[in-house]
Amino acid sequence: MALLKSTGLCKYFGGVHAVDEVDFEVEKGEKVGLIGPNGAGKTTLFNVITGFLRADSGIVEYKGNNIVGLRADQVAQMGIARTFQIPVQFRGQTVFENLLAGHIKEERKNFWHALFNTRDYREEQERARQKALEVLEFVGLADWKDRLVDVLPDGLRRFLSLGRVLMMSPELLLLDEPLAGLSEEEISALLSKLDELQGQGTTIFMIEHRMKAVMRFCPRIMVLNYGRKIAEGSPTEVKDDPVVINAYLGTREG
Amino acid sequence: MNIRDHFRIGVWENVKLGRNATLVALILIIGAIVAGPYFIASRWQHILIMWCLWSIAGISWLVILKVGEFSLCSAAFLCIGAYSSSVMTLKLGCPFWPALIAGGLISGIFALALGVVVFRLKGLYFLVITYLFAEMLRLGISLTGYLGGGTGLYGMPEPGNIGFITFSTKQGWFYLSFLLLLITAFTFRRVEASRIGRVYSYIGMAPDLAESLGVRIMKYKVQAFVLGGIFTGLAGVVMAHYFTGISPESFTLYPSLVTQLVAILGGVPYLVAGPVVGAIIYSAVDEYVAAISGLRPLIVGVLLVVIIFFMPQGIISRLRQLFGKGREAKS
Amino acid sequence: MGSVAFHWVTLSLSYVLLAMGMTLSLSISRIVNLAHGSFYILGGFLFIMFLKTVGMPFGWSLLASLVVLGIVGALLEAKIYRPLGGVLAPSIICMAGVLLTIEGIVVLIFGSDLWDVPSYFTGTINLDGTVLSIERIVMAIVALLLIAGLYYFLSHVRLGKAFKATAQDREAATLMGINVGLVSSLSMGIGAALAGLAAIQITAVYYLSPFVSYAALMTAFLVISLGGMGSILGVVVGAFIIGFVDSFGALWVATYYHLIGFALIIIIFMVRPQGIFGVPIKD
Repeated sequence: MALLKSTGLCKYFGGVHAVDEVDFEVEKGEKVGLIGPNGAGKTTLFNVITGFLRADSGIVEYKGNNIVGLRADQVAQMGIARTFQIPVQFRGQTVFENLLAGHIKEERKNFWHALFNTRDYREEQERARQKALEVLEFVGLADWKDRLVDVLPDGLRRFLSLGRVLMMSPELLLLDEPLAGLSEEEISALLSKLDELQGQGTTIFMIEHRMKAVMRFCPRIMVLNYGRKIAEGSPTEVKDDPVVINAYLGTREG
Repeated sequence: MNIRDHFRIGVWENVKLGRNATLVALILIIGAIVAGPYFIASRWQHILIMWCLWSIAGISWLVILKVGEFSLCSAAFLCIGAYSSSVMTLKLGCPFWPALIAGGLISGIFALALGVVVFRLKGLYFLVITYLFAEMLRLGISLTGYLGGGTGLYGMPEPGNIGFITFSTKQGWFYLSFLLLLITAFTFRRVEASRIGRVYSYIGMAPDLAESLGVRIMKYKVQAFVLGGIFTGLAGVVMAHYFTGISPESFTLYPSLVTQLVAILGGVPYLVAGPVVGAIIYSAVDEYVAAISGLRPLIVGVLLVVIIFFMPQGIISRLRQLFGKGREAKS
Repeated sequence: MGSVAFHWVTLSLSYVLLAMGMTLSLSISRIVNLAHGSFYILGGFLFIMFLKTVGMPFGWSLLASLVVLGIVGALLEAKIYRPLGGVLAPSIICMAGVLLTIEGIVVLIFGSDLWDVPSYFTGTINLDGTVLSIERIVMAIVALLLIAGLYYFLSHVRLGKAFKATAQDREAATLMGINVGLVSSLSMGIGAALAGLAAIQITAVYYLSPFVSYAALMTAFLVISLGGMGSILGVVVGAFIIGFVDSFGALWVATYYHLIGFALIIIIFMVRPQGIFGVPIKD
């Protein structure tokens, strides 16, 4: 059974078919890339999957369960984590505190425990801090631990976003242009982290525009244009596909 | 002037004191409270009582602001608390203490109902509805003549003596409002320092990000609203019984605006310390200008504008900047 | 019956004037202008001052009041609201501060008693047994003329169309060369003047007191919530509905009539939050 699967997924904005009858599958442990020209509907697709937008028709199945109509927080609770195209941070907070934010989902001790600072609550918070330290190391932001995110350089913000979603112990990572604005060095670093994660069993589904990187990294690539999936396959197959080339060069068919 | 940065909704600051400092401060405060009525002039006792009550209201408003919602219904919850307990003690013969608790709970229930209904709507609509709710409540009482109508309810019986504490002078009210403030301060300090407050901040600052991390926004917004409602209601109960008289005129937009004033005067980032600082300034000033009729709204109004323009981050932040502490100084 | 109907019409006209300003500042400046209530009382009190204290004739008093109010509104927008950059919380708090400040000033100068505007036009017309005062007819006509004028302005005068464009899409308006700042200031000035006129128009009937600012504010809110934010037609419809509630409703259901308004609002917010003719406000 595929980890994530959509059938006939549609999202319309007025007359615009942002997502148009999209079928896809992502198997557990895969690294899948999603590419397409600007405005093809890639981020919209992610928004529909993660519950930020409601699908107009079609279904999205996660581990066999239909998740269409669930709220974004419910989708997150199920183990699907996503990053945003333009990285968002909790400004005025330190890097460490931003990471801690990601752990919220895992924290089970309720309101009263937190209010009275019970031992269970304190232990939970300590676990969160330990994990945050590990993740901090993992994404290479240890030097920035107590600095405010406002001063964090652009490239490193992507690492922070990644770190934050890792705090959620996700099974599926939906990354929206994680490499945008990164230097070659940073790209290699980020991709090697993602490889490690995949090795640990995390599934990665990512939107990207940096062609070389995504071709290198993802064994399977899907192409979206005007909301429709126009191609799918290995990087070489997709690269040489005339339909894909047309889409990017803007030559209309018919 | 980057007002957005200075007036950060959702950002919190912890005014951390060292262990010893906290202990000493606590002893001093408690000592002052116990000795208070015997040494402090009656007028100042009144100021301090109002200080406590406005602090509570201000903190309650601020916690709702932290979750990203600008509300104009402090007056409504003061009103609900005040009228609930007044009716219970006057018409139903209920003793004061259960009425106090009931006032808080009933306010909380209204907050729950209102919150569930209203948080589905976006910012501007929320504002309008909370304001309309408060006004309609007030006008409903005033025009229908129920619950005392336009004249109001008077003669609420005072609570009986507790040992040496009597409520026929300001002494008992002095202790009670301080106690209430301490409970409120404890609760909201815990909220501020714990995960609860952090989640509120996340929702206030970047709700989409928070949601993507698994935070159920609606639940927390309603929770914050109910918390605020309960404590404001309690303050309303004390207000009603301390003044032994309430009328719809007491609950116009003006009290709601005062709660905002005390919060922003102290500083929006400080959930507890902010309104506490703001409230003492307001209560002192208010007592001395209350005599001249138009001066009250004038001063509050001018203060509101002046603070937004010249000190939007509030007094506490400003002082911390001057003394080099705080987050800005760190980076 | 006839007099109640007349009351309904004149009351509703004043509500149109009152709410028009609020809807203008909502769509153009994107602010819930709490100070609007104080424009209402300021207008009334300025008029009384010009008429009684300064001793100016009726027409000049009216004009002067409106002009002063327009200037106050425009200055407020330019000097106080606009520097805040549209951030919600500080803007609202600031305008609330303005509300209280103006209210405080009015109370200090005029005292907090009720004021009664002297009738300038005496005499009544007897129409089938219903007595209509000439004063109210004159004021109603003035109101009607201004509303019509405003409508014409917004649809056919270039500056007015700039208002509409700014309300629809502020950025696009800037790109088209519209001086958005001027439009914002003017719209608040006009709104303030209209609110003042509403007070003057209705002071013949109601007493004026500084605390009426809260009632005026609420009425304005009710009207635009019901009729629709950002729509002229909505303001007119909403005003006449609320006016109906406040005239006939007050007649038939004397004690509960305000609750009718509240119930209407609840229904509207549930069913169609932007109001009957409203355009959803993009944040």
